[in-house]
Amino acid sequence: MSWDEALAALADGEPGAIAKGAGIDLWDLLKEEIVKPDLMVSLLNIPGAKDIAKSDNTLVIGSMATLQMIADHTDVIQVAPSLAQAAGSAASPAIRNAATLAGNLCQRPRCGYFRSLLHPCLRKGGGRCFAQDGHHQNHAIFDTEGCIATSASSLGPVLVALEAMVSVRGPGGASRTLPVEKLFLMASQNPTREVDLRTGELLERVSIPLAGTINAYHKVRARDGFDWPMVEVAVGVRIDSRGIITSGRVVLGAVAMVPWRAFETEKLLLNTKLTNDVIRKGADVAAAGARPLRDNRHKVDIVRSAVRETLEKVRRIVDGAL
Amino acid sequence: MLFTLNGKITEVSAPSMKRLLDVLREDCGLTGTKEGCGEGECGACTVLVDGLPINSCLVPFGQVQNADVKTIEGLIGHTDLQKAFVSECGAQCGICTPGMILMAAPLVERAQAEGRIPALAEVQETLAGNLCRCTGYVAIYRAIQTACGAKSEQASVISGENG
Repeated sequence: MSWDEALAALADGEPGAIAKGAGIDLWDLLKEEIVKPDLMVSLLNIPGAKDIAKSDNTLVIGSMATLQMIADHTDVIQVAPSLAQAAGSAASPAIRNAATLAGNLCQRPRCGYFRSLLHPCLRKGGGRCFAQDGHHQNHAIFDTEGCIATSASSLGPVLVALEAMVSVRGPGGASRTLPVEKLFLMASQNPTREVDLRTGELLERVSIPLAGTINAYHKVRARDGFDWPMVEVAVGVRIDSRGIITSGRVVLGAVAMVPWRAFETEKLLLNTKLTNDVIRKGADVAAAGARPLRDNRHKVDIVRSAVRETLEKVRRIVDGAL
Repeated sequence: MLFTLNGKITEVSAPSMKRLLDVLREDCGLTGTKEGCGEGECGACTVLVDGLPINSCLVPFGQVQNADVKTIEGLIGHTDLQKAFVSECGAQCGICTPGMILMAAPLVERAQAEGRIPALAEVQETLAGNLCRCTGYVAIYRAIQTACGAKSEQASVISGENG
């Protein structure tokens, strides 16, 4: 089956057709009756869909590449070690052997109320967010007016930090390319969808620019293995020959429905060297604008310390590069 | 639908969305593969598909068309790893054991080929998705390291927090 054949099969099956990769999240969604498809179209065997290859100026990762393939790939480890680390530490080894890049980006949030048959929450088109007054220790600290579930994707923040682009193929062969940053929808922007894929569109591949971006990833979780992050941080910076930052992104995960850019930190880093003072100040402002809930104020402090850890990792790489 | 099961080309007629776990147990009569949670959390249903450990409770049968599936029954002949599980008491009630062994098998094979004994951290991460409620894991880690050539008494130097 080709991409176009998959798109045609999905179009024929409308409404009620759904595309699947490994189906890891899809099983849960079926059991939770969040999706009730009449037809599922597997994209796993599309030729080339799992390929990872370096071209002149980008590293291209097919959307059906598994997390373990991404974690182990020499070019990924060389160009985007933060991505290899995020892919290689998500979920468990058995899940990483099956779960795909597209599935990681498009999986639905893990909020217990969203996943519960008993709770017709905002994200399922219902009237209220049960987490606002309920269990929300692991929920959002930014954009917390409505649905406060967080994005479950660990690769999203890293790809945003790397300024990656995503290629989407639509009905009739139409395709579009957008920054990964634009793929994600804020809860306040759209309470029922997490990614900006329209009906009949498929995520085909992600391209990472080979721009010499120094990158690092840090994840904070309760258990050392097979656990969701409380907070994760991805940083990508470019430096000149003196070690001065000429551009940089600091992106937080597990704190909002989108990979959340710490713009205040980014501003502070620009045109500076990563000294102790810069790292401390950058970490201090990383949670600017946070509006935590009753029981997740701890995440604000975790954001600050996780950003400091990540910037220190970046400094070690910069020191080695100069 | 055709696939290779424990080295033999096998034809099974089952719905494509039936879980591989259920096809193995019900249609193929291979009950060595266990169901724990049915959600990819516990690893009891781990089998090898094209050499890679996966959770068979999360794989629709249709997905293994023409694939090479190996279950615990396919290891009959007793590998070094299975012998080590016996000698190091790596099993108690036994429900997690087939999954543990299939999860660790590729690591042991790789380590044996490279002539090295995997560090405890590597063994722990390999088994991060496999739960055991009896052994406390220490004997399991020791079995895996012993299968790779460690002497029983050297294996599994557990630091306090991980014991």
